[in-house]
Amino acid sequence: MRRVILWLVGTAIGTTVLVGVKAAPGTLPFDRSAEAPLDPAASGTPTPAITRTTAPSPSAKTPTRSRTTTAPVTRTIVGDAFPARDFGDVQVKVVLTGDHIDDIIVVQMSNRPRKAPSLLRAEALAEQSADNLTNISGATYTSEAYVRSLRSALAKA
Amino acid sequence: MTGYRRSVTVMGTVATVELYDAPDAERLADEVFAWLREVDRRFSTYRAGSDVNRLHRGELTLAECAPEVSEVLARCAEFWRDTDGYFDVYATGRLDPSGYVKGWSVQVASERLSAAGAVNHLVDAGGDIQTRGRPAPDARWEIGIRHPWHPASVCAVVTGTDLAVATSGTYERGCHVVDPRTGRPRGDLRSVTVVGRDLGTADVYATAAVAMGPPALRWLAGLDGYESMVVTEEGVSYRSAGLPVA
Amino acid sequence: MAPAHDERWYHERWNLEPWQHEAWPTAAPPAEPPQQPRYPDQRPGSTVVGTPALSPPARGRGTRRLLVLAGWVGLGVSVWLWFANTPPGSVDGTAAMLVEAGRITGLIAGYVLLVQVLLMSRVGWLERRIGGNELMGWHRDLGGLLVVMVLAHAVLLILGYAGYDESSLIHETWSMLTTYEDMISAFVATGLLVGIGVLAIRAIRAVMPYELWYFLHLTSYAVLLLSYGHLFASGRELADLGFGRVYWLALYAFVVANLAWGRLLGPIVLNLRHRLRVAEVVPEGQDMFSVYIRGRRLDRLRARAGQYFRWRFLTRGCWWQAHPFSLSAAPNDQYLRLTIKAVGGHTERLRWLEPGARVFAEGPSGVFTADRRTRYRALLIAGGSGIAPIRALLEELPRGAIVIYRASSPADLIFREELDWLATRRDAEVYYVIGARNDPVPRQVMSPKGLRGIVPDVQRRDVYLCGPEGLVTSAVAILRRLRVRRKQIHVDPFEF
Repeated sequence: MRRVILWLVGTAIGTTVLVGVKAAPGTLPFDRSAEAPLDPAASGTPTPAITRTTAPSPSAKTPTRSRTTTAPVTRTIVGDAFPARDFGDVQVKVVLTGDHIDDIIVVQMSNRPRKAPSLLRAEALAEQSADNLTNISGATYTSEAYVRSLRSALAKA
Repeated sequence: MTGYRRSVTVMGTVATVELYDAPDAERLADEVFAWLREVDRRFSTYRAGSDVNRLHRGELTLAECAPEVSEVLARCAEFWRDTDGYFDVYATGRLDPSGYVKGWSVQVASERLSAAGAVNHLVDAGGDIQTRGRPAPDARWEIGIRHPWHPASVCAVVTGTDLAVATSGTYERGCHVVDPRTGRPRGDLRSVTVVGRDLGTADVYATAAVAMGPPALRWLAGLDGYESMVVTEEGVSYRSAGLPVA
Repeated sequence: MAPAHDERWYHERWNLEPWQHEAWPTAAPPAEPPQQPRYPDQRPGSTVVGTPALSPPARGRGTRRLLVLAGWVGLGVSVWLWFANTPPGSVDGTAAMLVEAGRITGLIAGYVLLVQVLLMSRVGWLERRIGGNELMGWHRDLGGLLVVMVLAHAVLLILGYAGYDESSLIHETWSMLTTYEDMISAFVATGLLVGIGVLAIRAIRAVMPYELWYFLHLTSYAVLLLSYGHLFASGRELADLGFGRVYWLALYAFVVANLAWGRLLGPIVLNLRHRLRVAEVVPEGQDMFSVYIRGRRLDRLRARAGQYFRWRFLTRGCWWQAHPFSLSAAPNDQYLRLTIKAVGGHTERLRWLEPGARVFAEGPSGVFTADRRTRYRALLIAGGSGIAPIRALLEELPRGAIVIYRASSPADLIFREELDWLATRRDAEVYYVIGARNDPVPRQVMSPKGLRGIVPDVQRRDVYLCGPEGLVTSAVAILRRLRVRRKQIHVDPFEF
């Protein structure tokens, strides 16, 4: 019995430590180093996805970019991969000119079909690659993992 | 043709503007995004101070609202009749016109762009897309419809010059469309895409179809001027005869 | 045939009344002359019982440590899967913390479940190296941990996802059940596991008939099956083909293979190879009797003195129960012998086994063996039917062992002739300590001073104990008082 309690306590402590190690700066109560550059949506606050009224810019702590008169350079920045809710990772890359977002491209998304149903009838659901399409109806970019990957890319800008 | 493309996050999603051969593309894009943000401020159900929420709480009367708000709500009332009650801004128990607002705001943005001389453009807010003109002299806009199960694929591509494409579905935000008659979320239609003249109307029709469930197939087929594509939760896809697939 | 020491010596040392050794079997002379020990003829080349050429080498506990280490490493790899899959700084907010904690506990729970099944798979390399008793102890403790881990996993994930979706807990649970594959079976598996855990509480287990409890506990296999689906359907670390998935599949394959071998194929192979049958049943004392079992190629059985098998006698009325009994003679190529005390219905029935009855044996199992010794000489303490493995061990331990045989009365002693014979052949000393626990002589002997009197170098001996719980506990206490290290004390428990 004593051994079980020891193991339980050990597991609780171990899990807390592991989660803490991967915590984002600012999440832990004693770490207020950085602020989220974009929506506070993912911080678990009750109201989701409140957008700022300014264009997304890197966090206030980093020096603001001054607009130069020369043509701004177009850069592509890859965000971190974040685990999507069920499985797999979502990773986006952002094409920036200056600090305007030109494009958001999905780099990876777990393509594992989740419960792709067996199709009994003749009219099968077609599937083709979305590689050479830039506009997709139905892709709302509202999922958690998208937003976080996007934020991470913009934070690196 | 010179092209200009830019995206921002707004309304809890990503909005994109693509302009070809447009005078002063940057400024036009700024205006579009400013308009979208204004719409968000007024209509977002997530903002405590939005007109919609204040209206719902009784802090504002309809007469005191901005003209766009009363106009939108009036249109929503008409849609409620047209969709036999399936498009209902009070379906979730609180005032929520977002099934129309997104498409409508993109449509207005598109109209303003055309008025300003940008005749070849695409405006996309969270998957509701309005296009005008052409991306290249002899090319047409190609809009993919996201595959309901495989996130990195599409299940169809529609093509055209003046296209309004609205998709409502359960695969990104879960079953968020409520059937007004039962008050419960519906999930039997996984994805409904409506293509037609007005993006606002297309948005409403797509939302209403998801709320309707399987009877929507017949109803969508009878719509005048609007084509559609439906994928059910079992994986069967249906599309109307006139859908402009590539 | 007298004990190895003159009774006068006892008398002088303890200054007691002369022992009532008249009450010994000499008072009730045996009907026939004392029997020769039932040993085979001393054929040259045969394995003669009683004088093995070499005692099995002392092996120590190295492999046990290795196995425990392997267990920890496996756990570490499982949790590392999460660590490697989670980008640093990605846990932002309470909901994310809950979900990630849920994932970690899920990995731990899945691993512990597999270990649990492996521990009880009866597979040879575990039974021979760690022994049924310790395996059962681990199994019990890990069981408690497992139930808590699985519940924590479910609760943390529901709380976390409810936070993400801003939905109520009920709604979130419902949405999980209906949206994800294999979630229903996972929930059912959780319910079953909690049920098994509740039944395993000692107080509850005591009021149930053992067979019923055992069959309910078997539903743990259903837990393994039902939970399998959701691991690969929803488990983030296992979803895509990669190290995690391969590793986890390999773990499952390993455990299932061991289960199949240990519970099914291994015993079948063993019994087909050896074809054990009852040769005869011999009464040994008041309520004890020995069963001699013959078979083919017994020299290949790889059993050791001190080990036990789980015996199933395939006769009407006995076939549906399997019980562990220790070998009471060192394994040899002629026969196996068990010595059983008739304590209940089943054991009483075994008394009437007919020669030729088929026997299905599982084993060998147990670490109460000569190769576990850490010193050269040994002290063996036996009580009641515990004399069986002790008697077997006496054949395999090196010379110079001392045996203390506790019994309530002379009639309870068995194997006397054999023990005496072995004592002379193996230079051992056998002390028969007779009486109730509080009688003067037993009380004196079973005390630190008394024990040291008989065994002056007890600190330098391995002590093998087998007997009723009271005897074992008090003996261990005395030995600890005498500063005998735990490593030197080997206990063969009766019930496990």
